[in-house]
Amino acid sequence: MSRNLLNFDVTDLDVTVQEGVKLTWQGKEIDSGQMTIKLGAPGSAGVIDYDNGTVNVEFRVKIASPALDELFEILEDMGAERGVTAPFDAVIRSQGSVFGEDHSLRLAGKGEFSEHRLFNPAETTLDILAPTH
Amino acid sequence: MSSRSGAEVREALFNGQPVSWGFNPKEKRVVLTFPKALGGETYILCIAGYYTFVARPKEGQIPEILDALQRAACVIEQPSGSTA
Repeated sequence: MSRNLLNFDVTDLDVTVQEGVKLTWQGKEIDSGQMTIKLGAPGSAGVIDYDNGTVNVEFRVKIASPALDELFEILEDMGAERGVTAPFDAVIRSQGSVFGEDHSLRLAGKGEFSEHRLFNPAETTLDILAPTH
Repeated sequence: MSSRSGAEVREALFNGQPVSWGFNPKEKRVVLTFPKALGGETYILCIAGYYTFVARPKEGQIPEILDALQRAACVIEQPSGSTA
């Protein structure tokens, strides 16, 4: 490993989205409640290039919420296929800058969803915006 | 994020120590759009929490924690003042 290149693993990710979102399912509005984003499939990792001041990282995440869990349980009880109730997984590929002064990171990224019958990956998008400062 | 300097954080990372960064919980950082079948709404949301990176040891390198354990084991096996 070069002294100016750091390969790393993402060993923890613990994110909550306090604001709920509204989903409409068969004409019924469902409030997601608080959502959580945690590490899902193994392999989250990245690299910091200190020469160029850049960071690239891939987060393999699982998105969950009480309402989603409840919805999946109801659908399972109704005999829904596995593809409908599979975990809501995504890969977030982020890139940005690393600042030398305090080693803060300015990351922005885009999520790519796993195949899912409810959350059609072609229509479900997740963007992580860069922090303003 | 800790109050350590950038150089200290970088050194910690290269030494194999975990380093975490937090999100500003008041800043809207996530744009989430659902498929039309689920309403098709787009939300811009705040996120709170943190993520942690740990340097991947290069091949043949003993991670610092294992190195420390090995040194500790040596101390236990060969205590100072031992007459063995």
